[in-house]
Amino acid sequence: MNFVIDVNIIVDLVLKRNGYREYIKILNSLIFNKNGFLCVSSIHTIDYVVNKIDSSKRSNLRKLIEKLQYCKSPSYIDITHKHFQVDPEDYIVDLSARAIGAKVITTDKKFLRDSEIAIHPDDFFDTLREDRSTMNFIDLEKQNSRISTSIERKIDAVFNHGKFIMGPEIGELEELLADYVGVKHCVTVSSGTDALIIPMMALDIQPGDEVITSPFTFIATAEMIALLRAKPVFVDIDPKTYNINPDLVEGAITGKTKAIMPVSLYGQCADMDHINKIAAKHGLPVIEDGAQSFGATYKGKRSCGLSTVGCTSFFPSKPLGCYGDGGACFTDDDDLAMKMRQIRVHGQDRRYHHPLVGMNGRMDTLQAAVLLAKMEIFDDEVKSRIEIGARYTELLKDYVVTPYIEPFNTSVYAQYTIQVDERDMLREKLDEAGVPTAVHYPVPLHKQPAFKEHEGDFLPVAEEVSARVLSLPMHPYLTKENQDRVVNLLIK
Amino acid sequence: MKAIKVWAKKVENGYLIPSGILQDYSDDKLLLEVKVKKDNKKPEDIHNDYKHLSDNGIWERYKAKDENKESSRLTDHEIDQVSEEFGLMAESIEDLLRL
Repeated sequence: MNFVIDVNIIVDLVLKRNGYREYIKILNSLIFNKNGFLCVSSIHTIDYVVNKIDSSKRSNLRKLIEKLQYCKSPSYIDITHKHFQVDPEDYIVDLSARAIGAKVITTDKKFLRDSEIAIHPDDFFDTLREDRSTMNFIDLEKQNSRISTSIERKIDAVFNHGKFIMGPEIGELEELLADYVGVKHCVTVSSGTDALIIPMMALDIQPGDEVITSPFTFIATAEMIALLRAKPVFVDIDPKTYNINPDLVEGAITGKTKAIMPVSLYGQCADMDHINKIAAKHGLPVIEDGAQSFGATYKGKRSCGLSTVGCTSFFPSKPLGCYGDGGACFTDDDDLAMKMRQIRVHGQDRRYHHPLVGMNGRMDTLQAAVLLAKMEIFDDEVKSRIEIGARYTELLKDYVVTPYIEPFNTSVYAQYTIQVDERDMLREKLDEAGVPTAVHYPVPLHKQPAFKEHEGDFLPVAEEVSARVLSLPMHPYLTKENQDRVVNLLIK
Repeated sequence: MKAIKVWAKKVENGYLIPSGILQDYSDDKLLLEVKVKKDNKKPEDIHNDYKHLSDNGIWERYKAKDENKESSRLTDHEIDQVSEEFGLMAESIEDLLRL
Protein backbone atom coordinates (compact mmCIF):
# COMPACT_ATOMS: atom_id res chain seq x y z
CA MET A 1 0.00 0.00 0.00
CA ASN A 2 1.31 3.45 -0.95
CA PHE A 3 0.51 6.63 0.96
CA VAL A 4 0.53 10.25 -0.16
CA ILE A 5 1.14 12.70 2.68
CA ASP A 6 -0.89 15.88 2.62
CA VAL A 7 0.66 19.30 3.22
CA ASN A 8 -0.63 19.81 6.76
CA ILE A 9 0.97 16.62 8.12
CA ILE A 10 4.44 17.58 6.96
CA VAL A 11 4.10 21.19 8.10
CA ASP A 12 2.86 20.19 11.57
CA LEU A 13 5.60 17.61 11.88
CA VAL A 14 8.42 19.97 10.95
CA LEU A 15 7.02 22.70 13.20
CA LYS A 16 6.52 20.19 16.04
CA ARG A 17 2.85 20.96 16.47
CA ASN A 18 -0.06 18.83 17.60
CA GLY A 19 0.38 15.25 16.43
CA TYR A 20 4.19 15.52 16.21
CA ARG A 21 5.03 12.19 17.84
CA GLU A 22 2.37 10.32 15.90
CA TYR A 23 3.59 11.84 12.63
CA ILE A 24 7.17 10.87 13.45
CA LYS A 25 6.03 7.26 13.75
CA ILE A 26 4.06 7.44 10.52
CA LEU A 27 7.02 8.91 8.65
CA ASN A 28 9.29 6.31 10.24
CA SER A 29 7.13 3.58 8.73
CA LEU A 30 6.82 5.31 5.35
CA ILE A 31 10.52 6.08 4.98
CA PHE A 32 11.55 2.59 6.08
CA ASN A 33 9.09 0.88 3.74
CA LYS A 34 9.69 3.35 0.90
CA ASN A 35 5.97 3.78 0.36
CA GLY A 36 5.52 7.40 1.43
CA PHE A 37 4.92 9.89 -1.39
CA LEU A 38 4.66 13.63 -1.65
CA CYS A 39 2.70 15.07 -4.51
CA VAL A 40 5.09 17.30 -6.48
CA SER A 41 2.41 19.99 -6.60
CA SER A 42 2.53 20.19 -2.77
CA ILE A 43 6.26 20.67 -2.36
CA HIS A 44 6.32 24.40 -3.05
CA THR A 45 3.42 24.98 -0.67
CA ILE A 46 5.12 23.05 2.14
CA ASP A 47 8.41 24.85 1.56
CA TYR A 48 6.76 28.27 1.44
CA VAL A 49 4.61 27.76 4.52
CA VAL A 50 7.40 26.37 6.69
CA ASN A 51 9.72 29.14 5.60
CA LYS A 52 7.11 31.78 6.36
CA ILE A 53 6.32 30.42 9.82
CA ASP A 54 9.81 29.44 10.95
CA SER A 55 12.61 29.67 8.41
CA SER A 56 15.03 27.92 10.80
CA LYS A 57 13.10 24.68 10.15
CA ARG A 58 13.51 24.86 6.39
CA SER A 59 16.77 22.94 6.30
CA ASN A 60 15.32 19.95 8.18
CA LEU A 61 12.22 20.09 6.00
CA ARG A 62 14.25 19.78 2.84
CA LYS A 63 16.27 16.89 4.22
CA LEU A 64 13.06 15.19 5.29
CA ILE A 65 11.27 15.44 1.97
CA GLU A 66 14.35 14.02 0.27
CA LYS A 67 13.65 10.84 2.24
CA LEU A 68 10.25 10.46 0.57
CA GLN A 69 9.16 9.47 -2.90
CA TYR A 70 7.43 11.93 -5.20
CA CYS A 71 4.38 11.37 -7.35
CA LYS A 72 3.56 13.47 -10.37
CA SER A 73 0.29 15.18 -11.15
CA PRO A 74 -1.67 13.38 -13.85
CA SER A 75 -2.46 15.30 -17.02
CA TYR A 76 -6.03 13.97 -17.04
CA ILE A 77 -7.42 16.58 -14.68
CA ASP A 78 -10.98 17.81 -15.03
CA ILE A 79 -11.13 21.52 -14.29
CA THR A 80 -14.91 21.45 -14.28
CA HIS A 81 -14.92 18.86 -11.47
CA LYS A 82 -16.61 20.15 -8.33
CA HIS A 83 -13.53 19.37 -6.21
CA PHE A 84 -11.30 21.32 -8.57
CA GLN A 85 -13.64 24.29 -8.23
CA VAL A 86 -13.42 24.17 -4.45
CA ASP A 87 -9.73 23.38 -3.98
CA PRO A 88 -7.61 22.60 -7.04
CA GLU A 89 -4.60 21.61 -4.94
CA ASP A 90 -6.48 18.98 -2.94
CA TYR A 91 -8.13 17.74 -6.12
CA ILE A 92 -4.72 17.26 -7.74
CA VAL A 93 -3.30 15.54 -4.64
CA ASP A 94 -6.28 13.19 -4.70
CA LEU A 95 -5.82 12.46 -8.40
CA SER A 96 -2.06 11.93 -8.02
CA ALA A 97 -2.66 9.47 -5.19
CA ARG A 98 -5.20 7.52 -7.23
CA ALA A 99 -2.69 7.29 -10.08
CA ILE A 100 -0.31 5.29 -7.87
CA GLY A 101 -2.98 3.36 -5.96
CA ALA A 102 -2.28 5.29 -2.75
CA LYS A 103 -4.29 6.59 0.16
CA VAL A 104 -3.89 10.21 1.26
CA ILE A 105 -2.99 10.86 4.90
CA THR A 106 -4.53 14.17 5.89
CA THR A 107 -6.05 16.03 8.83
CA ASP A 108 -8.06 18.28 6.49
CA LYS A 109 -11.74 17.72 7.41
CA LYS A 110 -12.92 18.67 3.95
CA PHE A 111 -10.51 16.29 2.27
CA LEU A 112 -11.50 13.52 4.68
CA ARG A 113 -15.16 14.17 3.94
CA ASP A 114 -14.87 14.44 0.16
CA SER A 115 -12.41 11.72 -0.76
CA GLU A 116 -12.86 8.03 -0.09
CA ILE A 117 -9.09 7.50 -0.35
CA ALA A 118 -8.31 10.02 2.40
CA ILE A 119 -7.45 8.65 5.82
CA HIS A 120 -6.80 10.43 9.11
CA PRO A 121 -3.35 9.82 10.68
CA ASP A 122 -5.06 8.03 13.59
CA ASP A 123 -6.26 5.41 11.10
CA PHE A 124 -2.85 4.89 9.46
CA PHE A 125 -1.81 1.97 11.64
CA ASP A 126 -5.14 0.17 11.18
CA THR A 127 -4.68 0.54 7.44
CA LEU A 128 -1.18 -0.91 7.78
CA ARG A 129 -2.51 -3.88 9.75
CA GLU A 130 -5.11 -4.54 7.11
CA ASP A 131 -2.52 -4.26 4.36
CA ARG A 132 -0.10 -6.50 6.25
CA SER A 133 -2.64 -9.27 6.46
CA THR A 134 -2.79 -9.42 2.65
CA MET A 135 0.00 -11.62 1.38
CA ASN A 136 1.08 -11.72 -2.25
CA PHE A 137 2.85 -14.61 -3.90
CA ILE A 138 5.01 -12.04 -5.67
CA ASP A 139 4.83 -8.38 -4.69
CA LEU A 140 5.59 -6.02 -7.57
CA GLU A 141 3.85 -3.04 -5.96
CA LYS A 142 6.57 -2.52 -3.36
CA GLN A 143 9.24 -2.73 -6.01
CA ASN A 144 7.40 -0.25 -8.20
CA SER A 145 7.14 2.22 -5.30
CA ARG A 146 10.87 2.02 -4.78
CA ILE A 147 11.85 2.81 -8.35
CA SER A 148 8.85 4.80 -9.56
CA THR A 149 10.82 8.00 -10.12
CA SER A 150 13.52 6.29 -12.15
CA ILE A 151 10.97 4.35 -14.21
CA GLU A 152 8.97 7.51 -14.85
CA ARG A 153 12.06 9.40 -16.00
CA LYS A 154 13.17 6.61 -18.30
CA ILE A 155 9.72 6.02 -19.79
CA ASP A 156 9.29 9.76 -20.35
CA ALA A 157 12.60 9.75 -22.23
CA VAL A 158 11.36 6.98 -24.54
CA PHE A 159 8.12 8.85 -25.22
CA ASN A 160 10.12 11.97 -25.98
CA HIS A 161 12.60 10.44 -28.42
CA GLY A 162 9.90 8.21 -29.90
CA LYS A 163 12.21 5.35 -30.89
CA PHE A 164 9.94 2.62 -29.62
CA ILE A 165 11.71 -0.08 -31.63
CA MET A 166 15.46 -0.51 -31.10
CA GLY A 167 15.79 2.82 -29.33
CA PRO A 168 19.00 3.80 -27.54
CA GLU A 169 17.86 2.10 -24.31
CA ILE A 170 18.21 -1.30 -26.03
CA GLY A 171 21.93 -0.82 -26.63
CA GLU A 172 22.41 0.64 -23.17
CA LEU A 173 20.66 -2.34 -21.56
CA GLU A 174 22.55 -4.89 -23.65
CA GLU A 175 25.86 -3.37 -22.62
CA LEU A 176 24.84 -3.29 -18.97
CA LEU A 177 23.54 -6.87 -18.93
CA ALA A 178 26.51 -8.30 -20.85
CA ASP A 179 28.79 -6.66 -18.31
CA TYR A 180 26.65 -7.95 -15.42
CA VAL A 181 26.70 -11.53 -16.71
CA GLY A 182 30.37 -11.30 -17.71
CA VAL A 183 30.10 -12.11 -21.43
CA LYS A 184 30.90 -10.25 -24.63
CA HIS A 185 27.38 -10.13 -26.07
CA CYS A 186 23.84 -9.66 -24.86
CA VAL A 187 21.04 -9.83 -27.42
CA THR A 188 17.74 -8.66 -25.98
CA VAL A 189 14.62 -10.27 -27.39
CA SER A 190 10.86 -10.00 -27.08
CA SER A 191 10.27 -12.82 -24.57
CA GLY A 192 11.89 -15.59 -22.60
CA THR A 193 10.41 -18.03 -25.09
CA ASP A 194 12.02 -16.22 -28.05
CA ALA A 195 15.26 -16.25 -26.07
CA LEU A 196 15.12 -20.06 -26.35
CA ILE A 197 14.22 -20.44 -30.00
CA ILE A 198 16.51 -17.74 -31.40
CA PRO A 199 19.80 -19.40 -30.31
CA MET A 200 18.53 -22.76 -31.53
CA MET A 201 17.81 -21.17 -34.93
CA ALA A 202 21.25 -19.54 -34.88
CA LEU A 203 22.80 -22.93 -34.09
CA ASP A 204 20.90 -24.34 -37.09
CA ILE A 205 18.82 -26.91 -35.20
CA GLN A 206 16.86 -28.68 -37.92
CA PRO A 207 13.74 -30.89 -38.08
CA GLY A 208 14.60 -34.36 -36.80
CA ASP A 209 17.54 -33.16 -34.69
CA GLU A 210 17.53 -34.01 -31.01
CA VAL A 211 18.00 -31.61 -28.12
CA ILE A 212 18.52 -32.98 -24.62
CA THR A 213 16.61 -31.16 -21.90
CA SER A 214 14.78 -31.46 -18.58
CA PRO A 215 11.25 -32.83 -18.27
CA PHE A 216 10.66 -30.85 -15.09
CA THR A 217 10.22 -27.23 -16.12
CA PHE A 218 7.84 -24.82 -17.84
CA ILE A 219 6.77 -26.09 -21.26
CA ALA A 220 8.52 -23.30 -23.25
CA THR A 221 11.87 -25.13 -23.19
CA ALA A 222 10.67 -28.31 -24.89
CA GLU A 223 8.00 -26.44 -26.82
CA MET A 224 10.58 -24.36 -28.72
CA ILE A 225 12.54 -27.48 -29.60
CA ALA A 226 9.34 -29.03 -30.95
CA LEU A 227 8.38 -25.85 -32.77
CA LEU A 228 11.54 -26.25 -34.87
CA ARG A 229 10.36 -29.82 -35.58
CA ALA A 230 13.32 -31.08 -33.61
CA LYS A 231 12.85 -33.68 -30.88
CA PRO A 232 13.16 -32.94 -27.17
CA VAL A 233 14.95 -35.77 -25.43
CA PHE A 234 14.06 -35.73 -21.77
CA VAL A 235 16.66 -36.72 -19.21
CA ASP A 236 15.57 -37.21 -15.62
CA ILE A 237 16.42 -34.73 -12.92
CA ASP A 238 18.59 -34.75 -9.82
CA PRO A 239 16.31 -35.45 -6.83
CA LYS A 240 18.00 -32.78 -4.69
CA THR A 241 18.39 -29.80 -7.04
CA TYR A 242 15.57 -30.68 -9.51
CA ASN A 243 17.94 -29.76 -12.35
CA ILE A 244 18.87 -32.17 -15.14
CA ASN A 245 20.97 -35.05 -13.81
CA PRO A 246 24.34 -34.68 -15.55
CA ASP A 247 25.20 -38.31 -14.89
CA LEU A 248 22.35 -39.31 -17.21
CA VAL A 249 23.04 -36.86 -20.02
CA GLU A 250 25.77 -38.75 -21.84
CA GLY A 251 23.60 -41.86 -22.11
CA ALA A 252 20.99 -39.84 -24.00
CA ILE A 253 23.36 -38.58 -26.69
CA THR A 254 22.82 -40.10 -30.14
CA GLY A 255 24.03 -39.33 -33.63
CA LYS A 256 21.10 -36.93 -33.97
CA THR A 257 21.83 -34.89 -30.85
CA LYS A 258 22.55 -31.29 -31.77
CA ALA A 259 22.47 -29.49 -28.42
CA ILE A 260 22.04 -29.85 -24.67
CA MET A 261 19.63 -27.45 -23.00
CA PRO A 262 19.80 -27.63 -19.20
CA VAL A 263 17.34 -25.55 -17.19
CA SER A 264 18.48 -23.66 -14.08
CA LEU A 265 15.29 -24.34 -12.17
CA TYR A 266 13.85 -22.27 -9.32
CA GLY A 267 16.82 -19.89 -9.47
CA GLN A 268 19.71 -22.34 -9.10
CA CYS A 269 22.09 -23.19 -11.96
CA ALA A 270 22.41 -26.75 -13.21
CA ASP A 271 25.81 -28.39 -12.85
CA MET A 272 27.17 -26.59 -15.88
CA ASP A 273 30.84 -27.70 -15.68
CA HIS A 274 29.77 -31.32 -15.74
CA ILE A 275 27.36 -30.73 -18.63
CA ASN A 276 29.88 -28.59 -20.56
CA LYS A 277 32.48 -31.34 -20.24
CA ILE A 278 30.15 -33.95 -21.74
CA ALA A 279 29.10 -31.50 -24.47
CA ALA A 280 32.70 -30.70 -25.35
CA LYS A 281 33.50 -34.41 -25.63
CA HIS A 282 30.72 -34.78 -28.21
CA GLY A 283 31.15 -31.39 -29.90
CA LEU A 284 27.75 -30.13 -28.81
CA PRO A 285 26.69 -26.61 -27.88
CA VAL A 286 25.08 -26.02 -24.47
CA ILE A 287 22.14 -23.62 -24.20
CA GLU A 288 21.44 -22.73 -20.58
CA ASP A 289 17.76 -21.96 -19.98
CA GLY A 290 18.29 -19.42 -17.23
CA ALA A 291 14.75 -18.04 -17.31
CA GLN A 292 14.54 -18.42 -13.53
CA SER A 293 18.17 -17.96 -12.55
CA PHE A 294 19.24 -14.53 -13.80
CA GLY A 295 21.42 -13.12 -11.01
CA ALA A 296 22.38 -16.54 -9.59
CA THR A 297 26.00 -17.67 -9.49
CA TYR A 298 27.70 -20.96 -10.22
CA LYS A 299 31.26 -21.29 -8.90
CA GLY A 300 31.47 -17.51 -8.78
CA LYS A 301 30.25 -16.94 -12.35
CA ARG A 302 26.83 -15.61 -13.21
CA SER A 303 24.01 -17.65 -14.73
CA CYS A 304 23.64 -17.19 -18.51
CA GLY A 305 27.39 -16.78 -18.89
CA LEU A 306 28.31 -20.41 -18.25
CA SER A 307 28.05 -22.10 -21.64
CA THR A 308 27.83 -21.59 -25.41
CA VAL A 309 24.78 -19.43 -24.94
CA GLY A 310 22.59 -18.53 -21.97
CA CYS A 311 18.99 -17.38 -22.20
CA THR A 312 16.75 -15.67 -19.74
CA SER A 313 13.26 -14.29 -19.34
CA PHE A 314 12.18 -10.90 -18.06
CA PHE A 315 8.56 -11.95 -17.52
CA PRO A 316 7.22 -9.66 -14.75
CA SER A 317 7.37 -12.30 -12.01
CA LYS A 318 10.96 -13.27 -12.74
CA PRO A 319 13.80 -12.10 -10.45
CA LEU A 320 14.49 -9.39 -13.03
CA GLY A 321 11.17 -8.68 -14.70
CA CYS A 322 9.93 -5.99 -17.06
CA TYR A 323 6.42 -4.61 -17.56
CA GLY A 324 5.39 -7.23 -20.07
CA ASP A 325 7.33 -9.85 -22.01
CA GLY A 326 11.06 -9.65 -22.56
CA GLY A 327 14.13 -11.85 -22.68
CA ALA A 328 17.81 -11.95 -23.55
CA CYS A 329 20.50 -14.25 -24.91
CA PHE A 330 24.13 -14.09 -23.78
CA THR A 331 27.26 -15.41 -25.46
CA ASP A 332 30.97 -14.90 -25.95
CA ASP A 333 30.71 -16.20 -29.52
CA ASP A 334 30.86 -13.28 -32.00
CA ASP A 335 29.38 -15.24 -34.89
CA LEU A 336 26.52 -16.65 -32.82
CA ALA A 337 25.74 -13.18 -31.44
CA MET A 338 25.62 -11.74 -34.95
CA LYS A 339 23.23 -14.47 -36.12
CA MET A 340 20.96 -14.03 -33.12
CA ARG A 341 20.84 -10.27 -33.77
CA GLN A 342 19.87 -10.96 -37.37
CA ILE A 343 17.26 -13.59 -36.50
CA ARG A 344 15.49 -11.32 -34.00
CA VAL A 345 14.88 -8.84 -36.82
CA HIS A 346 13.58 -11.05 -39.66
CA GLY A 347 17.03 -12.43 -40.47
CA GLN A 348 18.08 -8.99 -41.63
CA ASP A 349 21.72 -7.87 -41.71
CA ARG A 350 20.95 -4.49 -43.24
CA ARG A 351 17.71 -2.80 -44.21
CA TYR A 352 15.58 -5.08 -46.45
CA HIS A 353 18.41 -7.58 -46.92
CA HIS A 354 17.78 -10.99 -45.32
CA PRO A 355 20.53 -13.63 -45.41
CA LEU A 356 18.59 -15.74 -42.86
CA VAL A 357 14.98 -16.61 -42.14
CA GLY A 358 14.24 -14.90 -38.86
CA MET A 359 11.37 -13.54 -36.86
CA ASN A 360 10.05 -10.44 -35.17
CA GLY A 361 11.82 -10.97 -31.87
CA ARG A 362 12.98 -7.54 -30.75
CA MET A 363 12.53 -6.23 -27.23
CA ASP A 364 10.44 -3.04 -27.02
CA THR A 365 12.41 0.06 -26.05
CA LEU A 366 9.93 0.71 -23.24
CA GLN A 367 10.74 -2.67 -21.69
CA ALA A 368 14.46 -1.88 -21.91
CA ALA A 369 13.79 1.41 -20.11
CA VAL A 370 11.97 -0.43 -17.32
CA LEU A 371 14.77 -2.96 -16.98
CA LEU A 372 17.41 -0.22 -16.80
CA ALA A 373 15.54 1.23 -13.84
CA LYS A 374 15.13 -2.17 -12.22
CA MET A 375 18.83 -2.96 -12.60
CA GLU A 376 19.54 -0.05 -10.24
CA ILE A 377 18.18 -2.13 -7.36
CA PHE A 378 18.74 -5.64 -8.68
CA ASP A 379 21.84 -6.47 -6.59
CA ASP A 380 19.99 -5.37 -3.49
CA GLU A 381 16.96 -7.46 -4.41
CA VAL A 382 19.09 -10.53 -5.10
CA LYS A 383 20.69 -10.10 -1.67
CA SER A 384 17.23 -9.95 -0.07
CA ARG A 385 16.07 -13.02 -1.98
CA ILE A 386 19.07 -14.99 -0.75
CA GLU A 387 18.48 -13.89 2.86
CA ILE A 388 14.75 -14.64 2.72
CA GLY A 389 15.39 -18.05 1.13
CA ALA A 390 17.98 -18.91 3.78
CA ARG A 391 15.58 -17.86 6.55
CA TYR A 392 12.77 -20.02 5.15
CA THR A 393 15.17 -22.98 5.06
CA GLU A 394 16.37 -22.39 8.61
CA LEU A 395 12.80 -22.25 9.90
CA LEU A 396 11.39 -25.14 7.84
CA LYS A 397 14.25 -27.64 7.52
CA ASP A 398 13.00 -29.89 10.34
CA TYR A 399 9.47 -30.15 8.96
CA VAL A 400 9.51 -30.36 5.15
CA VAL A 401 11.98 -31.02 2.33
CA THR A 402 13.57 -27.61 1.78
CA PRO A 403 15.50 -26.54 -1.35
CA TYR A 404 19.01 -27.94 -1.60
CA ILE A 405 21.48 -25.37 -2.85
CA GLU A 406 24.82 -26.76 -4.00
CA PRO A 407 27.72 -25.31 -1.99
CA PHE A 408 29.17 -23.80 -5.17
CA ASN A 409 25.85 -22.15 -6.12
CA THR A 410 23.82 -19.17 -5.04
CA SER A 411 20.12 -19.25 -5.83
CA VAL A 412 17.97 -16.22 -6.59
CA TYR A 413 14.91 -18.22 -5.49
CA ALA A 414 12.69 -17.38 -8.43
CA GLN A 415 10.56 -19.83 -6.50
CA TYR A 416 11.02 -21.09 -2.98
CA THR A 417 9.82 -24.65 -3.47
CA ILE A 418 9.46 -27.31 -0.81
CA GLN A 419 8.31 -30.92 -0.95
CA VAL A 420 5.37 -31.98 1.18
CA ASP A 421 3.00 -34.89 1.65
CA GLU A 422 -0.69 -34.26 0.97
CA ARG A 423 0.06 -31.18 -1.05
CA ASP A 424 -3.47 -30.39 -2.19
CA MET A 425 -4.86 -30.47 1.34
CA LEU A 426 -2.03 -28.24 2.54
CA ARG A 427 -2.58 -25.76 -0.30
CA GLU A 428 -6.22 -25.54 0.59
CA LYS A 429 -5.45 -24.82 4.26
CA LEU A 430 -2.90 -22.16 3.35
CA ASP A 431 -5.31 -20.59 0.90
CA GLU A 432 -8.01 -20.42 3.58
CA ALA A 433 -5.51 -18.61 5.83
CA GLY A 434 -4.77 -16.07 3.07
CA VAL A 435 -1.41 -17.52 2.04
CA PRO A 436 -1.07 -17.89 -1.74
CA THR A 437 0.94 -20.84 -3.07
CA ALA A 438 1.70 -22.32 -6.48
CA VAL A 439 2.86 -25.59 -7.96
CA HIS A 440 5.87 -25.48 -10.25
CA TYR A 441 5.12 -27.89 -11.99
CA PRO A 442 2.28 -30.35 -11.43
CA VAL A 443 2.79 -32.41 -14.59
CA PRO A 444 6.23 -33.25 -16.03
CA LEU A 445 6.58 -32.43 -19.70
CA HIS A 446 6.65 -36.04 -20.93
CA LYS A 447 3.19 -36.48 -19.41
CA GLN A 448 1.72 -33.45 -21.16
CA PRO A 449 -0.76 -34.18 -23.98
CA ALA A 450 1.33 -32.03 -26.33
CA PHE A 451 4.20 -34.52 -25.91
CA LYS A 452 2.18 -37.72 -25.95
CA GLU A 453 4.88 -39.50 -27.91
CA HIS A 454 7.02 -39.24 -24.75
CA GLU A 455 4.35 -40.64 -22.46
CA GLY A 456 6.29 -43.87 -21.94
CA ASP A 457 9.59 -42.14 -21.07
CA PHE A 458 11.04 -43.50 -17.83
CA LEU A 459 11.60 -40.39 -15.70
CA PRO A 460 10.69 -41.45 -12.15
CA VAL A 461 12.28 -38.58 -10.24
CA ALA A 462 10.48 -35.91 -12.28
CA GLU A 463 7.22 -37.76 -11.80
CA GLU A 464 7.68 -38.15 -8.07
CA VAL A 465 8.65 -34.56 -7.29
CA SER A 466 5.95 -33.09 -9.53
CA ALA A 467 3.41 -34.67 -7.18
CA ARG A 468 5.06 -33.21 -4.07
CA VAL A 469 6.45 -29.74 -4.83
CA LEU A 470 4.85 -26.61 -3.44
CA SER A 471 6.07 -23.04 -3.97
CA LEU A 472 5.66 -20.52 -1.14
CA PRO A 473 5.32 -16.71 -1.32
CA MET A 474 8.73 -15.41 -2.33
CA HIS A 475 9.88 -11.94 -3.28
CA PRO A 476 12.53 -9.48 -2.05
CA TYR A 477 9.96 -7.53 0.00
CA LEU A 478 8.52 -10.45 1.96
CA THR A 479 8.47 -9.34 5.59
CA LYS A 480 9.62 -11.49 8.47
CA GLU A 481 6.09 -11.29 9.89
CA ASN A 482 4.58 -12.72 6.72
CA GLN A 483 7.30 -15.32 6.45
CA ASP A 484 6.62 -16.36 10.05
CA ARG A 485 2.92 -16.62 9.22
CA VAL A 486 3.65 -19.02 6.36
CA VAL A 487 6.08 -21.07 8.44
CA ASN A 488 3.76 -21.33 11.45
CA LEU A 489 0.87 -22.44 9.28
CA LEU A 490 3.02 -25.07 7.59
CA ILE A 491 4.33 -26.40 10.89
CA LYS A 492 0.82 -26.53 12.33
CA MET B 1 -0.90 52.19 -23.34
CA LYS B 2 -3.33 49.30 -23.75
CA ALA B 3 -6.60 48.69 -21.92
CA ILE B 4 -7.05 45.14 -20.53
CA LYS B 5 -10.23 43.69 -19.13
CA VAL B 6 -9.63 40.93 -16.59
CA TRP B 7 -12.46 38.43 -16.28
CA ALA B 8 -12.26 35.87 -13.56
CA LYS B 9 -14.27 33.67 -11.31
CA LYS B 10 -13.96 34.04 -7.55
CA VAL B 11 -13.89 30.70 -5.84
CA GLU B 12 -13.40 29.45 -2.33
CA ASN B 13 -10.00 30.02 -0.73
CA GLY B 14 -9.16 32.98 -2.90
CA TYR B 15 -8.64 31.42 -6.30
CA LEU B 16 -8.77 33.62 -9.34
CA ILE B 17 -9.04 31.69 -12.54
CA PRO B 18 -8.33 33.53 -15.78
CA SER B 19 -11.33 34.10 -18.00
CA GLY B 20 -9.68 32.21 -20.84
CA ILE B 21 -10.36 29.04 -18.91
CA LEU B 22 -13.81 29.89 -17.62
CA GLN B 23 -15.32 31.79 -20.49
CA ASP B 24 -18.32 29.44 -20.58
CA TYR B 25 -19.36 30.24 -17.04
CA SER B 26 -22.27 32.58 -16.66
CA ASP B 27 -21.29 33.61 -13.14
CA ASP B 28 -17.97 35.14 -14.18
CA LYS B 29 -17.59 38.68 -13.00
CA LEU B 30 -15.68 41.50 -14.48
CA LEU B 31 -13.18 42.07 -11.71
CA LEU B 32 -10.84 44.63 -13.13
CA GLU B 33 -10.38 46.94 -15.99
CA VAL B 34 -6.86 48.13 -15.93
CA LYS B 35 -4.63 50.13 -18.15
CA VAL B 36 -1.08 49.00 -18.36
CA LYS B 37 1.76 51.28 -19.21
CA LYS B 38 4.03 48.99 -21.06
CA ASP B 39 7.27 50.59 -20.00
CA ASN B 40 6.42 51.36 -16.42
CA LYS B 41 7.48 48.07 -14.88
CA LYS B 42 10.82 46.39 -14.92
CA PRO B 43 10.79 42.61 -15.46
CA GLU B 44 11.88 42.02 -11.85
CA ASP B 45 8.95 44.11 -10.60
CA ILE B 46 6.52 42.09 -12.68
CA HIS B 47 8.10 38.92 -11.34
CA ASN B 48 7.77 40.20 -7.77
CA ASP B 49 4.12 41.11 -8.32
CA TYR B 50 3.32 37.64 -9.55
CA LYS B 51 5.32 36.11 -6.73
CA HIS B 52 3.40 38.16 -4.21
CA LEU B 53 0.05 37.06 -5.65
CA SER B 54 1.18 33.45 -5.81
CA ASP B 55 2.54 33.49 -2.25
CA ASN B 56 -0.68 34.99 -0.95
CA GLY B 57 -2.65 32.25 -2.66
CA ILE B 58 -0.48 29.55 -1.13
CA TRP B 59 -0.78 31.08 2.30
CA GLU B 60 -4.56 31.49 2.06
CA ARG B 61 -5.05 27.90 0.97
CA TYR B 62 -2.77 26.62 3.68
CA LYS B 63 -4.51 28.67 6.38
CA ALA B 64 -7.89 27.36 5.22
CA LYS B 65 -6.63 23.79 5.54
CA ASP B 66 -4.98 24.48 8.87
CA GLU B 67 -8.10 26.02 10.35
CA ASN B 68 -10.20 23.12 9.19
CA LYS B 69 -8.21 20.21 10.54
CA GLU B 70 -9.17 17.26 12.64
CA SER B 71 -6.51 16.90 15.32
CA SER B 72 -4.81 13.66 16.18
CA ARG B 73 -6.16 11.82 19.17
CA LEU B 74 -3.74 8.96 19.71
CA THR B 75 -2.38 8.94 23.26
CA ASP B 76 1.29 8.49 24.09
CA HIS B 77 0.49 5.00 25.33
CA GLU B 78 -1.19 4.09 22.03
CA ILE B 79 1.76 5.51 20.12
CA ASP B 80 4.12 3.40 22.27
CA GLN B 81 2.07 0.35 21.37
CA VAL B 82 2.20 0.92 17.60
CA SER B 83 5.90 1.75 17.87
CA GLU B 84 6.53 -1.64 19.39
CA GLU B 85 4.16 -3.46 17.05
CA PHE B 86 5.71 -2.01 13.88
CA GLY B 87 9.27 -1.56 15.17
CA LEU B 88 9.22 2.23 14.81
CA MET B 89 12.08 3.59 16.89
CA ALA B 90 12.30 7.18 15.60
CA GLU B 91 11.36 9.83 18.16
CA SER B 92 12.48 12.98 16.36
CA ILE B 93 13.07 14.49 12.94
CA GLU B 94 16.77 13.90 13.46
CA ASP B 95 16.03 10.19 13.93
CA LEU B 96 14.03 10.20 10.68
CA LEU B 97 16.89 11.85 8.83
CA ARG B 98 19.19 9.04 9.95
CA LEU B 99 16.93 6.32 8.48
